[in-house]
Amino acid sequence: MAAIVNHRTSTAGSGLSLAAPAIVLAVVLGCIPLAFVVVYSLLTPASFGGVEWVASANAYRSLLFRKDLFSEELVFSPDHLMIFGRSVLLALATTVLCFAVGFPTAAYMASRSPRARKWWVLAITIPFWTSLLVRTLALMLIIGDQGLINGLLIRSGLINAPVAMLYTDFAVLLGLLYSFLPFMVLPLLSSLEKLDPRLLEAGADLYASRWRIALQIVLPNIRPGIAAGCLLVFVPALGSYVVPLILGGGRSMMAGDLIALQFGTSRNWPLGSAESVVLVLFVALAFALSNLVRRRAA
Amino acid sequence: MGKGENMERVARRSPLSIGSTDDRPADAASVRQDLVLESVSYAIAGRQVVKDISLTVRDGEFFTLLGPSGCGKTTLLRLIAGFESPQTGSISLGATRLEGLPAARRPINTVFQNYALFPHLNVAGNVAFGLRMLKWSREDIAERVDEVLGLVQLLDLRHRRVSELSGGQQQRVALARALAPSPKVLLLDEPLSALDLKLRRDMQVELKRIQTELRQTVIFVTHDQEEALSMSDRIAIMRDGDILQCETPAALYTQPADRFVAAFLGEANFLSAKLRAIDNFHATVEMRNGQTASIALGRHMPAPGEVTVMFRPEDVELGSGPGLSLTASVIQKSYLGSDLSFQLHLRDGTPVKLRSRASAAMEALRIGQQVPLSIPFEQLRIVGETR
Ligand SMILES: Nc1ncnc2c1ncn2[C@@H]1O[C@H](COP(=O)(O)OP(=O)(O)OP(=O)(O)O)[C@@H](O)[C@H]1O
Ligand SMILES: [Mg+2]
Repeated sequence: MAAIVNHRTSTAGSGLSLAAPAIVLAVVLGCIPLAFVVVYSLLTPASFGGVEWVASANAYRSLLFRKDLFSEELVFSPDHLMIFGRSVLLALATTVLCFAVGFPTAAYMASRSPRARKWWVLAITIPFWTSLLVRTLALMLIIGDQGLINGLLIRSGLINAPVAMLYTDFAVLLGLLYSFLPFMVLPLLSSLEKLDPRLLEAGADLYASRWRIALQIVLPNIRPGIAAGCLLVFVPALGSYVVPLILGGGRSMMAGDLIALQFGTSRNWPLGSAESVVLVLFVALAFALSNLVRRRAA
Repeated sequence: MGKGENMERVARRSPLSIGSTDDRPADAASVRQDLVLESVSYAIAGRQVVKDISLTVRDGEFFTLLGPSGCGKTTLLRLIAGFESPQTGSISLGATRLEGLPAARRPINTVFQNYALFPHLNVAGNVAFGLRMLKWSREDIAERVDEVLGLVQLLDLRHRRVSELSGGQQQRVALARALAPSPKVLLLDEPLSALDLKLRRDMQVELKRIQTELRQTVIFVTHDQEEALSMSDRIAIMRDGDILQCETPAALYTQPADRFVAAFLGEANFLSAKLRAIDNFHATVEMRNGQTASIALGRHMPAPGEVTVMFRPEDVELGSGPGLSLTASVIQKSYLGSDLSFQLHLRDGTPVKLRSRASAAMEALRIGQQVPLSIPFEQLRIVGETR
């Protein structure tokens, strides 16, 4: 998807005039809210939510330090780092997992006839006709202690007590994989469709096994699709909120939970904003990385 | 570097080498490795694209498949390369049967119709690809890449991206890439068709030079008859999945077996006649104008009844002389550099072409004029009617 957008803008000769609506949209929907967040992160929290218009860098300071209750001294506190670190790790793991599952899927789809391929794309996207919440709850029913899988395993006599799957990192990862897989598969498929099949034959002709054809010819030539897919999975996974909350049972806090917490129960909007800014920086980093990959591929 | 050394190198390093199994002489180069196709048939979606083809390509031979578009040339190459497998028949190289082997296990390399160079690798990377897959050592690869790039005169461009090459240069990279692993058979699918005429002629010479130097077995596909005639040791004329005739260029030109072959290679005139008598070496035919001619038998064995007599435009002489005499009126005259070409019609409307060096007598011919023509009997051929 991102690859297509990219393609469009780069081929549009009279770039600016054609891109104008998109630019307006990006400013209104992207930059202005982001500016609000940045401004809020530099203000002082009001006691019942909202902000007081007094400038302060306290929010950023409290990302790394907390005030000692007695001495009022600033003490280093790794809580934020750990939560962000865990979120980044989880998002990375989701991305890797989505690629590991998505690449063979996309490769299989690309090898079908164009008609069959349309059905596959439909099958991949059908779950998205329902809301994320419903899908996540459905997954809960499947992997819960009384869920489908444990039920089947117990009835077949393979185990006698349910295997704990729900409310584990495994459950979160599974939920994220399920949620974001299409964002990986579709850009990969679009890149694979553009790959000249004769390159694969040339590989076989030059003594490459199927495995080496995949690694040494296919992968290097679909780098734009890989970059787009990884970005499309990593970014929403990093900020994901519903899935870790429901499937992880709120046991381990994620960046998304943390931010929601500041705007809700904690009523510390500046801190929530500062946390959001950090998250946005991570996303910007991911964009820069994926652009680098795409540039090298071009 | 000689082929012997070349093949030894492959025998030593390549797990694919099939010329050096234990029961064979140590010197692989001394073993002839003919490529033999026997009754190979192949159908796509129920339609026969290759029909029961048998042929032998000799070791070191420049063998050309020539035929019109869609006659199955690419398909036949794909069967040999191993991208498709024949429904019936067998393909073998030397003593090795190839049917069961996937493309990646056949010591056969291809130059594709559109080159199919790897866009993510530079020139040297493309040429090295096959050697890397064969797990050659780094030094051996570097040495061989230099050697092959030298052969196609691309040493200076070794670090270029392939997207930054001209058509002719891409073609050379594709050739170098296919030559690098020293394949037993090199398949070339219309490698020159994308090039302009001048470059094409240069590349023909170059390709032929390289093939001769390496004594490389080559199967070359083209639909350009001039290209085929000038480069090949032997040519197989294909039509509709069939091989009509397979011989040296000279034999094909002077002894075409049927009308299609005669017309496809060069220009040809056809007259119908009646077979009157036949012995081991000659056929006596009666032409439409009542004249009888004794024609040496060639590749086609005529059956009693109507036969087709063929002769080339350059064998037609102006004026009456010994041989077959005709009277024709001039329809069209065209200049072909040093040659003049005439379109004429016999009385019954049969077209006849004449081609000759420009001379005063030729120049003087006017459109509409009636002229006597003669064709020496020894230039007449009896050809079959193509089914
Ligand atoms: N994938 C395919 N599906 C159906 N028919 C095919 C397919 N590939 C080739 N054919 C048919 O097989 C016949 C032979 O094709 P082939 O490509 O071998 O011809 P060719 O002699 O190489 O032609 P050209 O000179 O145009 O390259 C053609 O009639 C073509 O329509
Ligand atoms: Mg072809």
